Amino acid sequence: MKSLVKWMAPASLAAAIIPLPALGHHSFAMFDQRTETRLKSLVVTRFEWTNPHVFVIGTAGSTTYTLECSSPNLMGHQGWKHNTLTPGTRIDVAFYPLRNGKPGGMLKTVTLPGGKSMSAW
Amino acid sequence: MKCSSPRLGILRSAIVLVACALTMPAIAGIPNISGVWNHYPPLPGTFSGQPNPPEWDPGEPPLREPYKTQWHQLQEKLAAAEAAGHPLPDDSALCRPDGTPMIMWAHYALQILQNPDLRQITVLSEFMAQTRRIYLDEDLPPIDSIDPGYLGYSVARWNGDVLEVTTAGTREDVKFMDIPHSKNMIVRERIFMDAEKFLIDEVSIEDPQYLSEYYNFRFMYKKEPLSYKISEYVCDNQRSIILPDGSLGMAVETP
Repeated sequence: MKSLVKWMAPASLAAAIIPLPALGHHSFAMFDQRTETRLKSLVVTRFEWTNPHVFVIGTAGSTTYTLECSSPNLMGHQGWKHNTLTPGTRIDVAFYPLRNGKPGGMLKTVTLPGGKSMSAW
Repeated sequence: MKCSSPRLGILRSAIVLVACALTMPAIAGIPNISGVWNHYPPLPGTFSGQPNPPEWDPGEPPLREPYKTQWHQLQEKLAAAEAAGHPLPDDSALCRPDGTPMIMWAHYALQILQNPDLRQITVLSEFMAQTRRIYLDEDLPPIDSIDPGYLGYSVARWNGDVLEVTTAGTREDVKFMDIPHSKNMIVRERIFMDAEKFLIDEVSIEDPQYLSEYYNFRFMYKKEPLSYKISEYVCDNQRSIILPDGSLGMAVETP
């Protein structure tokens, strides 16, 4: 989806302003967007070029991570392809973790082996 | 104008081809709104921290009571769940199509096709690969005769440079802005290009059972270049799940 920003007012104004629906977005409030987690050398096991969202599945140590990205069309406009990531590729990632503590999150940026950084949204 | 002739000389052929290329998009004086359009102005980047532009806000619906109070209560419940990190599922999360008029909100690009042979205008929405057919020069049939659907049944006429569209038959469980509506809801649209070549869709919803007055808002679109390609969109990798508490979660991969 294009944006996390809602039409809702800041908390200090919430009582005075009616919260309007965030049309067309599904929520990403299940991710802790105040905490950025960084992982080095995540090994990609699968790159799911799918709708409604793209996912990177990868392992670091003994943990398997599920990382949600934007959608193929929007990522495509930014230069992503279905084979930008392939199994075995080692990448550095920054993501907002799931609030429930499970190994996953909202992928923010990927740094490819050559050093190129790409936004996942 | 004949747009091909093997007997023409090369120069004359070239002139005719150029003339045809310039004139073909226009259909007998009817505005050419064919093309790929994106909602304008664009939404800010996901991590920009910027609010959505006001042009994306259709404003509060003029609901009658008790629907107005119920709608406010729902919005407060959704906002509280969001703030608590336990968002409630919505149509988007459940991979449901937009329906009318939400399709025109253009979450992703819209492609408009004008084909006089079909006597219809076709709107292809990238989001959920929705297809909206707007039948030209037809009268709206009695609402009871329309099979309810996400998009309803749309008819339209050109009034000068304005395409006047009328839609009925949107399923009652297909809601725009979480607004309840009756089976008698009528959605009227005036679609036209402004002086700066932006496409405008002025929407007016009529539903006396639920609305105290017409609910009016508008969408604005900017045309994309011919090189802009619309992607396939099949909503089939659903990792959004409903958790036991009813909130929206994400299914993680199990090793």
